[in-house]
Amino acid sequence: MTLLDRIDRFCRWAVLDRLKRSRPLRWQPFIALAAIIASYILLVSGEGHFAPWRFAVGITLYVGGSVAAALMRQMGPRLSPNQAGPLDERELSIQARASAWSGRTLSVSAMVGCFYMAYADWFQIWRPSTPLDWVFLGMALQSASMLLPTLIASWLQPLPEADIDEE
Amino acid sequence: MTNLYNRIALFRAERGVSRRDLAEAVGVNNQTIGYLERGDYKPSLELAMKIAAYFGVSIEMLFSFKPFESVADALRRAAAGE
Repeated sequence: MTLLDRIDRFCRWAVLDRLKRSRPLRWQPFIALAAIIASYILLVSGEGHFAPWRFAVGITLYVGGSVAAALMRQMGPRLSPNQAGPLDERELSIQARASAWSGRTLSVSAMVGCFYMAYADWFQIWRPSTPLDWVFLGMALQSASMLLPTLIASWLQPLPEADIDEE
Repeated sequence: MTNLYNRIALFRAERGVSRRDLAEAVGVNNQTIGYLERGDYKPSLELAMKIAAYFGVSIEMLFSFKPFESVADALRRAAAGE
């Protein structure tokens, strides 16, 4: 038995191979999104007073949310070809619709954000002002854009039968 | 939206073909075969023709806009006709 055969056998024994199977992730992305939003609030709050604990918790939440987003992209519905092969017609259709809805959601959010920025001073409410506020906002949007297609694709397709992968 | 009924599961069971085998033969993910059988996904004309060709039957034998008669009903009708 070669080393590769042993590794394959170990993966099957440890059920690691099942982690690579695509599955709908309907609720888990909300947890990652909540972590990313909470991290942004922590990182930009404090009105210029730097608090190490807030920064540490904010960064930890941001890294946790981003790593979770990247993992969910791999474990959720297939949105790009991988070692399992190219996307078939159903997956291509799901990918196209999920990408379109994701883009639409981010566009509407950006549009609402623009109006918010325009009127924030008038209503004397908070808006991103320092370069760091904008950097953190960009990072949060980057993670959200990675997560949204997985979330939307998971809701676009019905839940698979339990035995589909077992045959 | 119009329902599209199919007898893929019946043909697959009759021929002893697994979802994975059928999926590999027609070039799709095996989950897609599951979604097709449940009526959760409507195939393209190309995929429908590939599946029909795999079983060696016409498309009308596999797909229909009207529900197919169940095997039990067909057997009952055949028995009554004898």
